[in-house]
Amino acid sequence: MRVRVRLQLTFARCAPGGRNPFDLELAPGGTVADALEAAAVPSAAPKVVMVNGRVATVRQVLREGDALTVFPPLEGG
Amino acid sequence: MMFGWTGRVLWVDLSSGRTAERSLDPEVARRYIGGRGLGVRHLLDHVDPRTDPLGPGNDLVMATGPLTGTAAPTGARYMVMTRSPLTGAVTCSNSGGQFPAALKKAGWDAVVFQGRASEPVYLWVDGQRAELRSAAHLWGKNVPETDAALRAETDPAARTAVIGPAGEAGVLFASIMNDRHRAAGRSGVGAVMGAKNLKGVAVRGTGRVALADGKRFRSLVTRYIRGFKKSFGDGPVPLREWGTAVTVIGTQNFGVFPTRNFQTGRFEGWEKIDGRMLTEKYLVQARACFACPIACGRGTRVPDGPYAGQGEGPEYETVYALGSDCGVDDLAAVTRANYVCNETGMDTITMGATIACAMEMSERGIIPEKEVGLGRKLAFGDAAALVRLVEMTARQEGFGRLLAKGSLRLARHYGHPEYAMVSKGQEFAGYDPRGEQGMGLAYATSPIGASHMRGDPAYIELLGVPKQIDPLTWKDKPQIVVDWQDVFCVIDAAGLCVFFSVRNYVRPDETIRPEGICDLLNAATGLDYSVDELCTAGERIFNAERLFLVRAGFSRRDDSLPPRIVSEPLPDGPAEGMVCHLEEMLTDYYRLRGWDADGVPRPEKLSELGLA
Repeated sequence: MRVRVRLQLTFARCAPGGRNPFDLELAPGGTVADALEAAAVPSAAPKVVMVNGRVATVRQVLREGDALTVFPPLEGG
Repeated sequence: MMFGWTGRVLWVDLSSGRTAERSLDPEVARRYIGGRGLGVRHLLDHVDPRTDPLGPGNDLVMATGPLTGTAAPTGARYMVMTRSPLTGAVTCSNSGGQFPAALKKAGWDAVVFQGRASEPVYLWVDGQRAELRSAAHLWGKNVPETDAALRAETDPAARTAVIGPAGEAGVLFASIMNDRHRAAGRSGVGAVMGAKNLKGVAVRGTGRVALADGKRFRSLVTRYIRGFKKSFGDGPVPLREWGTAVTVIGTQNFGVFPTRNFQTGRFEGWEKIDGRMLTEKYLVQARACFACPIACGRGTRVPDGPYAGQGEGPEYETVYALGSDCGVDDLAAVTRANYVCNETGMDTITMGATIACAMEMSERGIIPEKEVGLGRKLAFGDAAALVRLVEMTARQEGFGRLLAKGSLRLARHYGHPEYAMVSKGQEFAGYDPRGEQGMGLAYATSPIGASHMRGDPAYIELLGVPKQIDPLTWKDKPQIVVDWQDVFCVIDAAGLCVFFSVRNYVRPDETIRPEGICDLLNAATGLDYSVDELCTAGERIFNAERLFLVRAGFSRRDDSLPPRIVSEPLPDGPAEGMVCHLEEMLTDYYRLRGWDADGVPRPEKLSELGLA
């Protein structure tokens, strides 16, 4: 299945070939964690992950066409 | 001798021109910590909560905390407390920079201004000496001019907190600007100074804050600095790299970036005005407040074009208020409007939100074109009109006289208060509460009206600090808002900055218990605070502010949000279809607070906190 990934701010440098957002091919039943690993996003780095505009955990199972957005925790404004 | 605190408060009677030194009661210091706590204790003891905010009966308190002026990371803050002319509630206008640390190093925990001077004056504090001097020659000067003049007349190394023409003219959201660019921005504290004929304060402070256990204190400072650096690995510190306007990424992602007077939460021009664009186009230098390792301040310059100029900003809140909320995606215009606010001494949030309110009423045909006086219909997205209206407000020129009263009075003037995005008459910060339920409760129950800084749930609902929770749920929010409001009282009272504190000084869960602040306070003061005692002190401060509000006539009906927020669903984005479930949250919130159904603290709660 295919999901769309947008990496923001400090994670933007992980985008393949500078393409951002980009599509990822995952096995059916793949999770947010699988997508992050496939996108080479550093696992230890604190991050906020959204799937289709809602907050997601790394264990969330993804579906065809899901849109992931990943950004670092921000200190505020 | 006290440690952490100086133990000394400067009282200035502007009516008689006399100054006096009074001791800080150690028991009051322990129970109210400093800053916001000392300020509200003073107001309860000395100010009639129904007094005319712009009359001589209103006092204005500038209070530091026991960690202000120490090496504790971000120990830079002071609090300006008075009765607000904008809202009638208490103010908690907080600022950093260098002035607060200088005041503390000069030997003062706080300065209390009473009465009204018969002619314009300024206060010169040279260490432990204080005198009032004529400011007749400074009246009418803007903030940078006043800062320069005060330092030339006193000491080149002096630090200043001053008002500009807006404060003199009684703009109801006039700010007090310190170190030229830092603002005690909200609630019109600058108008109170202006009404007192007090143009500014200049301070030379060269002493050191006495610490009870300097060795322990230094080791804690080293630990927190190291932890801060480690948390970013070899990557950049986002706030230093891109400033607070980087927060646009979070609010836009969640669909809560207020746009066109809160008609939607997604702004199509967001990438033109966010922190990355500011860095790329106009950043000259990241600037830090006293003892701050973050450096989120933006020294900026717009090099050319109709909005050329230089100064500081914009911050996130300004980018929202003067940008997306007005539908303006021209970053140069937003930055220029920010400079004008800083130079004339006005709160950028209320300024922008008031113009946004005017734009909506104009588009709906409620405000006639000729009354605005621009020669064209006022509409969202008009960058030139934005800058012009800010200038007209500062000078109280034409339609600017109405804008100078804030959005609620403006909207009432035209018979449509529903278009004012306010709580208790204070304009919202840059978060739409329909997509961030906890923020709605925080806006409605904040003692100063719709502020994000009196227990900011955006951290945990949007920004992932200290962890991420779902912003769209509401049943879980009352407890979080209560806990965060109380801990923010501790941060504000200690003299610290929220930005560093929520990441480094608190337990990293939704309770954010202030463990690190407790360690620092004990090393600084020599007391034996427990974390529980500190949390209780925070609760005491919050309830003391509530008591002031109750005595001023506020009740549950004022813990409200506009009809748009509680009954018009967000039209698009991740929070599409949501309204803010305030009423459901409020009942639980009052129960958790120990307040009755009308929002009044119960006698047993007041007794428990020593406020009866």
